[in-house]
Amino acid sequence: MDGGKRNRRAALRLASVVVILFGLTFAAAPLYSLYCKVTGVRPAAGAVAEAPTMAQPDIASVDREVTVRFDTNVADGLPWEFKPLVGRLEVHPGRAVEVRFAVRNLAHETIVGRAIPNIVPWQAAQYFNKTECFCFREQSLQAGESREMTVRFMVSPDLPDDINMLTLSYTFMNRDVQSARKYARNDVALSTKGAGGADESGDDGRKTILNAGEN
Amino acid sequence: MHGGSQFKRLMQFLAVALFLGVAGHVHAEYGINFPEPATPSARDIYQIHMRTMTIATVLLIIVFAIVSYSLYAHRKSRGFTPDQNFHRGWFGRWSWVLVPLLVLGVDMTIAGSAEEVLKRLWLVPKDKDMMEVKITGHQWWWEYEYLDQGVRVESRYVPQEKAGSLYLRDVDNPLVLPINTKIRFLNTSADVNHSFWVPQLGFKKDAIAGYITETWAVIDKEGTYRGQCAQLCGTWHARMPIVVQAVTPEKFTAWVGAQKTRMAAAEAEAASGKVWSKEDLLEKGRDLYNKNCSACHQLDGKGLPPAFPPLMAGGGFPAGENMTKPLQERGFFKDGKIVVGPVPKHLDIVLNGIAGTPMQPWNQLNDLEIAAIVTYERNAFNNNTGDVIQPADVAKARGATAPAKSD
Amino acid sequence: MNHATIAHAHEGGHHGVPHGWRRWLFSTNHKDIGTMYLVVSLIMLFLGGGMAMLIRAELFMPGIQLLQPDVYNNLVTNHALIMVFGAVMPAAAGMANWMIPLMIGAPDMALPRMNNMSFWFLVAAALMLVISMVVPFLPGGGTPVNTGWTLYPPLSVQVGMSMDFLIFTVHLLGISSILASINIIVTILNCRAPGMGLMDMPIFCWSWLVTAFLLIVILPPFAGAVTMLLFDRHFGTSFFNAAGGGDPQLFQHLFWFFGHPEVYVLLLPSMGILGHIIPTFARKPLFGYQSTVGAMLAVGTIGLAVWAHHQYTTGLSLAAVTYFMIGTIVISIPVGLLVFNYIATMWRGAMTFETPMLFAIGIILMFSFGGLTGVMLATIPGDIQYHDSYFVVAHFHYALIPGALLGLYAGVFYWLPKWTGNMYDERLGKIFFWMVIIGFNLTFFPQHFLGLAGMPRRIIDYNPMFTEFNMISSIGSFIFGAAHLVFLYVIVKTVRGGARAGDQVWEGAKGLEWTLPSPPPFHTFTTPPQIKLAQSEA
Repeated sequence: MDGGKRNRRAALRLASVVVILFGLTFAAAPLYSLYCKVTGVRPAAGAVAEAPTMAQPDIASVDREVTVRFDTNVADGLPWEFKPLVGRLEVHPGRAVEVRFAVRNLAHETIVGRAIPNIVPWQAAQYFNKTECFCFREQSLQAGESREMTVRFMVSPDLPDDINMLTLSYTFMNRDVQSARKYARNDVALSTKGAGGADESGDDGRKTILNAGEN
Repeated sequence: MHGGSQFKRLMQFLAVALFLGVAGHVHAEYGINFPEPATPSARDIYQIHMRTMTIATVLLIIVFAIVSYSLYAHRKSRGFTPDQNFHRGWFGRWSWVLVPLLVLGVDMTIAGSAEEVLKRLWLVPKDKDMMEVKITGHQWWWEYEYLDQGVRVESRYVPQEKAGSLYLRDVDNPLVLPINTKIRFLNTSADVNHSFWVPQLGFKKDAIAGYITETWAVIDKEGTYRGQCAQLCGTWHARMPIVVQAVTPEKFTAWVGAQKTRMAAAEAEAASGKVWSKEDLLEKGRDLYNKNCSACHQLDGKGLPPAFPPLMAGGGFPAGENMTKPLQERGFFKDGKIVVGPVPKHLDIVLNGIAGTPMQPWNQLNDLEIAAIVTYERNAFNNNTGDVIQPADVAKARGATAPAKSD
Repeated sequence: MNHATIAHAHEGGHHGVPHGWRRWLFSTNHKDIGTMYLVVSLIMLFLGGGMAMLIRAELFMPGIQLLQPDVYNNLVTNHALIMVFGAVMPAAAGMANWMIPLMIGAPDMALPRMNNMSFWFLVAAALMLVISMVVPFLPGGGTPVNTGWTLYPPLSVQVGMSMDFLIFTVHLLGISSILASINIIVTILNCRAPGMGLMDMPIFCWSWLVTAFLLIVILPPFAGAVTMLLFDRHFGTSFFNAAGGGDPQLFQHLFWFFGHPEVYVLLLPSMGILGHIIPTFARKPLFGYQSTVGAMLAVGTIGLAVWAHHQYTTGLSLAAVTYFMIGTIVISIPVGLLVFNYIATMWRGAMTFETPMLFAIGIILMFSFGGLTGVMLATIPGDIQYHDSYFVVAHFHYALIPGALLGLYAGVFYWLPKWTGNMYDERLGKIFFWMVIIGFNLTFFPQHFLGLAGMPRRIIDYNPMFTEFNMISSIGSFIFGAAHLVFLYVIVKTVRGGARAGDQVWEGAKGLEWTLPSPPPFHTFTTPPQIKLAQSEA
């Protein structure tokens, strides 16, 4: 039947659309990273692909000082300690600065982690150039190993005038899903019984102080 | 057909529904609208909400009125003859332009009024020395870190027995914030997505691990504001209440001072070399155990075989060789039963974990905390060994067994 | 082999109706497959509805009475998935199978054997879903899927084995729906009776044409997204894993690129059904046929580009959210036009109020309400408060129950006499209608208040301050649930017997399907019909 052939051709055409769209979905991942990097909306996305920016000439604007705060996070599933050695720093835009972070593996085995950088406010991200960062590579720490890690960065002199304070925040995450599951604080498999109960000792006079102030 | 009586019932029902709808946003104090806003942005949102709701109600009344009239008038039972050419008149020919234009007008009214507020909400101020509070969602509690003050607060839900009528709306440690201060919130998560939502503060931001999302607020009224985690985050999503306590800046400073003193005192206490009484250790130990250990080993110490062994001696532990063997080697498992092993091994397990099992190292806890936990474990659950472990013992064990440190 | 089967199908075609289980298992007949779709969707409706009853029973009072939290979360997840993929979509597909060939004068669907395949894929998917629900109760099964139907990572990476079964479920459902969609598109484009142009086509066919294209565009990305999730879970990739440079947010984009148009997939076929029912019972032609078609096309097109309004709170940039807000609000234009055209069809008609018409009127009113709360939600400042609260739950049930489910019920009552040859019991039909209306509104209207007062969605336990509205809501849901026993009874009763229905079941009905006997013979339109009949509708 002639109609049958026509139908099959139309169906095949539609099916190829489906296949192409399915394939394109996988292209969404790199495209999305690219989009995030170009717009600076989510600077952390695609951090892996991030290449060190070339250092610009050292023309510091001496009269301008910007405060940079350093914040660290360790995601659940990574038994590491992670601290900045300096909490905050006044920097001159255009001058390279070096800061150090300390990290320690509390576990009994080698664990690979990756630090994901975030800049707050996000509008400042594109003016924050890291020339050296432990976040460029995965960090492998042996059992109990401690390490000091360096970040060299420069706040660009083009930083808009209304931004005078930014926060550089890192989150260390376990690179391996299975390992992260092993070290997770709350394995969902076991918590149906009633985790998260508050302890009596939690109220240690904080409320009392507040109430006293009100009288 | 009983068109008439159906119609009457429909009308009665619609009248009731509509009345409820209108009443719904007139009488805000009956708890059927937003609670009273406590920040300018929440107030802006409230106004937008009222405006769009009013527009929606008016449109709905118009639709109901037209449909109702048509149901009444254009019925076969009233002998109405259908107007077969209605769709061919000018109205039929031009309605496809007129109606969209009308709807567009309404749309633009709504979007226009929202646009300005949206900008205010979205563009987080970038003032110098703006206060920053980091909010970290965990399964299933909140962590608040005051970045400049160096204060950290863990906030967990309070069980029903203690919370009473504030059940699932109360926490042990609230987020204390100063009023009339611009505060930037950095939201992040340690595990899955969470969402910080306190209706009266007028912001809601998802917490995503590895990412920081920003919001801001100026609270202009003292008070206690309650909210909950708004993003499904697993088993106990319902048990992540948020309590914000807004106080004057002076009180806030006092509170920060008290927090610092308390933290320093706790540290000093742990490092003081003081010898603790068994009772004190047991009490501390119970709280610490319930908070840190009971998720796996359970509040009653009976564990959850096969992954998590009981700590209560005398029972069996139906689990694979990979679990029982390390316990046997350390003296905690004999002849198919759980026993209380030697103190040094106990300290070793808690401090360093057991490789290859779910037991992780807990050496981030301080000496006093470990001492308390181990003392508790050896005396609770009918274990009654009578052992008392002092912080100094832990310090020694730490030196002896901890993996080499490079610093 | 191929030729042999085709030959066999042809033989069957000429030698009457096959008998026994072979008739159903190997069926290539659009009416039989349509019936099977409808039966499966009815079973799924009761399964999903039963879950809703359990959820509402748990929420009747504060405290945890009936369910474990993870079981509760699993019910929330599966209630959504079953209702969307198991009940509404198969029911709409069943009606498409039954009615589209009858409406366009085709002897069958264009690809009958693929039709069979897409149906049995659906059954396989349903089984897979049941496995995913049962697995957690087996030793070593891990946690149930406790993520909600959105399956957001990282939570969905934490879940045990049942997540993998759910991912396969999604794959099977996707294949089933894509095959069905391809079939419908080809049927509509290639098999219309000679002389029937696209713009002469009954509006139900148009609604399905748009729906089928939407499905073809949105399902592959969804299948891709869950495949990436599967890879992230087991093969060490980092599509959504921040630790490896991925972004959990990407999954949300992919999910909602599917998830939002999916709403229109559910909605449009029912809107198409209304486009038949209202003219029939108003006894005058559909008002604005062209603009209705245009509105459906516009809904489909714009609907593809507004997905991120589900993610306002996830940290999108101002420019992005502004675009998505305006895009979303603009959707109200074609949707408004649809509703307007239906009201204008009623206007100056001669209406009678049989059960399908009652449903149509109820739908117009309640769906308008759901649409208006939709505009409220699209407005970002408001959404910051409404998002993930019970207000959203109330909104999408107001959009989807009238907009999709009740439209299908209306279709069932409208076409049941045609399918079975028997009239349904009008009195019972009306009792069902009123129970649905009362139960539905009682269930979901109070939930708006709960949301505004600050009750988040997907929680198993709540503060006592939310008790009253939750109780009202639960009572309403029990009425709503009980109504479906009446529904089942009406259907069974009609299938078994009742007053005979003539060819022209409804006085005012127009279209080719009403020129056939009720029930239509096993094979219809083996010779193309005279098309003048169909044109009288346009």
